[in-house]
Amino acid sequence: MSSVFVQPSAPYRPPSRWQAFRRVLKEHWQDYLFISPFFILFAVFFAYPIFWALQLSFQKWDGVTDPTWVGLDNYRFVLRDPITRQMFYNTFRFLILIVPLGIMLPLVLGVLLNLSFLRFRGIFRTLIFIPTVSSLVGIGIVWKLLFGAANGWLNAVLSHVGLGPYKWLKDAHLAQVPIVTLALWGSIGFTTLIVLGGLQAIDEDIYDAAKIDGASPFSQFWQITLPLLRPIVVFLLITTTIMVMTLFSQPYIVTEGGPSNQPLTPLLHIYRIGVGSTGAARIGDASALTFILSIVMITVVVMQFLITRRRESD
Amino acid sequence: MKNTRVSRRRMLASSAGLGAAAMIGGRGALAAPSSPARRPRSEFQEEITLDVFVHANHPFDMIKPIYEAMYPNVTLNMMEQNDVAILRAALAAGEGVPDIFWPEIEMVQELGKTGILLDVTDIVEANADVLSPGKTAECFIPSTDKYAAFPGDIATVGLYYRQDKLDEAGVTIPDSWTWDEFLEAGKQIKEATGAASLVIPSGGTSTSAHLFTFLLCQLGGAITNADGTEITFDNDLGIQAMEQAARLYQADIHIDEEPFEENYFAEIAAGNVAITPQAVWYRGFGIAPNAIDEQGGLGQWRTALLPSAGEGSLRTANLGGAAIASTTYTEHPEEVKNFMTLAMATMEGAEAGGQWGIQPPYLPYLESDTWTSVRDEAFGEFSFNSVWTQAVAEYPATWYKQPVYLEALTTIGAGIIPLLDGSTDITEGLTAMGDQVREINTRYQ
Repeated sequence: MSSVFVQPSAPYRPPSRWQAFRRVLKEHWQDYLFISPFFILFAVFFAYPIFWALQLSFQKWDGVTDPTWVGLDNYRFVLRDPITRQMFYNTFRFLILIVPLGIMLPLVLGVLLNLSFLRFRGIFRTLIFIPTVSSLVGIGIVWKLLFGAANGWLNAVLSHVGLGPYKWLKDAHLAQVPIVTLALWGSIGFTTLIVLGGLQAIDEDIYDAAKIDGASPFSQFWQITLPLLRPIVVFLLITTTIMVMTLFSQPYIVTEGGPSNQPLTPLLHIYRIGVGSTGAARIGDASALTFILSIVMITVVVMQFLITRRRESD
Repeated sequence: MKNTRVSRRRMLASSAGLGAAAMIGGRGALAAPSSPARRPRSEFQEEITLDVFVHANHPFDMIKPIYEAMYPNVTLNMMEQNDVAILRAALAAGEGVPDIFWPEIEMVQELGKTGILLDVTDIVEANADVLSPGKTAECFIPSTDKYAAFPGDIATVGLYYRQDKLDEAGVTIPDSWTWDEFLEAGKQIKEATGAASLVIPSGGTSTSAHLFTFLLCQLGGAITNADGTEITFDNDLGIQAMEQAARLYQADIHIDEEPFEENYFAEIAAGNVAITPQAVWYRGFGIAPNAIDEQGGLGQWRTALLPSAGEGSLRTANLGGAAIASTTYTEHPEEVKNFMTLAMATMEGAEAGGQWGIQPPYLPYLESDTWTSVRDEAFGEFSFNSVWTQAVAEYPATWYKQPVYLEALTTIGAGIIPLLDGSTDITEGLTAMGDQVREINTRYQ
């Protein structure tokens, strides 16, 4: 009987994380060098301001004197502030008005612009995309002229059929109209383009098969187009919701947040108190409000995402 | 913590510095030497450049050549920039801060409390006898017992009216009358000519509150007390002012437009405005550009003091009016002070500013023929400035514009219409607004 004596070797020690990191860095340093500008820019212009804003949300700071730590006082104040409630209520109202239209209109326009027998499709597609490349500020000024009470073009047209004049920019309820239409007008080009992309990705064979089975155009849309566009619709739902919750230019240019704060949106209010355009700068309050808005936005978007995903799995 | 502060200041400093450098560079390329008859520069004098934040087309542009001729070693770098956000960013960074700027009074009060503004007590006190006391009081910081800015333009308020419209309605403005008598005259004018006598925007912006603030100011009330620690606009004087404003609103003699926007200007041009209570600067802003023909009232416009709001009422009010300020960052405080004094406390400077259209605080100028003889086509041969000189004599020293001032006006403007139209009880509504502003005011203490 022979036996083999095996010399016990030193136990294998995996390299530490630091060693592994150094090895990877040594092997791929050129790759990291090439992607480093993004991380540097991200750190300087995104990560740092976010963490600084978070810090400021717990401080009282006017931008001039040294900041003082106030704990949760800024959060307490802005949550109690009636203007905060008002702006979230306004946002909810805008969501109800803009999101359904912001999904339905591009769907309708996308389907129309995808019709194979439509002449001058290229021209129409170009025209519908013009708002996306137009200056919202310039268009906002045009909107103001369009909806002006005394000399507004819309009132001038309506007066020919015996209507008006309406105080589009002064009436608390009517003032929603120019802002909603401007928001929809500004986003319609991009959203229609997304829908068109989705429609063109649907295999024509499916429609051909449906036609052979005798499906009507409506039935084809309902049974084929819409289900296959579901990811696009979810995308539009989420992006339109974010767009509405971050409305700024539209109410700022058209009504400056009036009348009676009815179209005041969160970002406009944050801007006002943060920059101090309606008083001294309250940077701490503005920062706290920013994080509250972020939490609300993330919650809404995650809920939308979960609901739509659950429906898909059902 | 300290490192964080240093790095963020550096970051802001870089941004503000870059912005300022770009603007200076831009201006340097555009600026043309314009000062006539410059004195030769002394070899021993230090070359100095003062950065000046101004509005576009500002009276400072007219004062610049006079100043540079008087102080040949100093160049004023006019940066057409007076944006509050940029100024605040520069102050936060401590870099790119202008040597001279033109802040509104509530900003003077806000920054003056922090001690960041240049103390100009010496030059204000040295010129106190020749400056409007009301305007001078606005630059005083109670908590530091110092003047943090030099008095700028005085924004007295009066009536602009069209003589032809009043004649057509058979209305004469008496030397002394009340707002209730004004109301009756307004009805008479509307009936005879269809023209309005007030402008009250229902949009819920701060301008919706202007009429109320005029009345409150006339009655000796204010938005806050002198040091801004208390909100006072909802006291008895506030209620009295709001009741008068409501009577005027309900008389339906007003136009519902923003007074500083195109739609109202169009109403002026169309002859739909017979009277409008506005500040002195509204002549160049809203009247003259729109009174270009008979329909717009060319040659027919006049000015008058406000009607009385009650016993002991002032006949004018306060609507705006800035000051000249500098900061402790300036490296040339003496040159800055020389500019302030020249611009607003000498006949030469006041005349230059007056020609541009502001009402300087220099009393000898306001009482001079140079001021009262100014004419404007919209007003024919009428000496509108004589009325503003009378208004200056009554310009209040108790209309305090503390840091909460603008937010208070925004709050009042947002909620004022239900009080004016009678759908909300005035006392209750005003108290609710006052409480809301009190909450906000805690942020400024």
